[in-house]
This record gives sequence, C-alpha cells and structure tokens, in this order.
Amino acid sequence: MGVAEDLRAVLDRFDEEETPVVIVGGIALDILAQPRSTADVDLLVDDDAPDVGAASYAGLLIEERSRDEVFGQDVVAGHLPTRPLPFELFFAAHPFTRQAVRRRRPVESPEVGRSVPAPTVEDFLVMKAAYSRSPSRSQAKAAQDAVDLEAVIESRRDEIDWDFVEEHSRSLGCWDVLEPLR
Amino acid sequence: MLVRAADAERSGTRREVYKSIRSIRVRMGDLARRMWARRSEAERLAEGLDMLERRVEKVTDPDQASTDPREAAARGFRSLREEG
Repeated sequence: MGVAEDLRAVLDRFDEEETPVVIVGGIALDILAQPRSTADVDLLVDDDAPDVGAASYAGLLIEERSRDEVFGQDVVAGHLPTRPLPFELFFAAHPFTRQAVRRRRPVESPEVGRSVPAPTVEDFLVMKAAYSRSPSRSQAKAAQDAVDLEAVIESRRDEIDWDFVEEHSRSLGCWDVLEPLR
Repeated sequence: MLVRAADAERSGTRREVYKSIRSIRVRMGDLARRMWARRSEAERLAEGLDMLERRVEKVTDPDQASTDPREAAARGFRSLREEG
C-alpha cells in the first residue's frame, strides 16, 4: 500500500460520509502547475472539526491539533493506522475556504484509481497569497509560496479569472502579493 | 551560462560565481516549468505522488524501522511532519 492507495482510502471515506473535501497545498500545486517536494497531503474539509479528545476522524488517527490563524480554522494532522503518510485537515470555517470546497473540480487519476478533488486556479492563488502574508509564516515558507504562485500564474496565465482573484484577495488583504505577478 | 560560471570561478569573483549560478537555476526552473505545463494534470499529480512516496520511504527506512508497525508508522509520521 503506497501514497496513492492511502489517498484513495481517505477520499473514499469522505465520499462515504458525504463530506466534501478539496486537495490544497503541495499536491494541489502538482495538479495546477508542476510537481514539487511536499511532506504531506493537505485537505480542506467542509465539516466541523472533531471534538477535542477524539482519537480519530474519517479513519485517520489524530496526531496533532492546531489552529490556522489565517482563516481561523481548526487543523488536525493525522495518519491512517500503521501508515506513515501524514494528512493535514483544514476544517473550512471561513466563507472563502467554504466556497473553495464547493468550487472543487474532479481530476481523474489512474494512479489513485478515482477522481481527485482539485481546487480552481483562482482559489489556490488567493489561499496561497493569504498564507504567505501570515505574520507567523517563516521566511523560507513565504519564499516557497512566492515561487509556487509564480509557477501557477505562468502555467495558467490565460485561464485565470483575475477579477475574482482581485476581489477576494483584496478582501483578505493579500492583493499586493498577487498584483505584481499579474 | 555554464561557461560563464566557469569563467567567473576562474576569475575568482565570488559574487560573479553566485550571480551565474543563480541565473542558471532560474533558467533551469523556467525550462522545468515549460516542460510540466505541457503535461496533463493527471500526469503531474502522478509525479507529485511519486515524489511524496519516495520521501515517505526515506523516513521509514527499514534499517531504522521498529518491529512494531504502529511505532514505525508514528515515527515516520513525526519525521515527515518535522521536515514539512
């Protein structure tokens, strides 16, 4: 059982529970622009975070809990029993992230053996820009964010709805990150 | 560009060497980006998952693995989390 099988198992479980999710983070960058090294699978989940003290959620053993201070969301890190692949779940609590889950689109993946829910280019850009402006973001991660944004914009320039990106990134206070890359 | 970097190295100007190396890296990044832009989303996802697989394998090297699969999985998980 490898990474693709782990991802399929987790996505199947969310489907069974009728909980919408969308892939974000490094794996979303793979889909949108170009593969780069990442350490985990990040999922934005349209659900309430599990109660404090819960040992598992959607088949994942809970390893850590934290707070996403950019969108004010609960975050749970976990893994499938006896499997090392980390999953990080962001529980969509902000109107922008909730609509990003709703706007997800399927990407058929022969490796995963099912469709994988991918974010729109615009939602990825706005979320990435918002995280890059977080005061707690390390310089190294912010630099990586800038490289990721540039890669997506260069790869997808012709299809980006810039009116949408500008409206939402202005309301989140991160348009200054994206405007020079337009 | 490689010739320019080699020339800069011979001339002994560290700043010039760094500048040349940086421009090589930028150019390589551009080439990689253009190459990946021609591939499908599914192909890029497959490559990304493969990279993640290799990283997971690295931190769960059997030489360091415990005989207890739960312990080994938790250690691998922690290593990946710390790296990330």
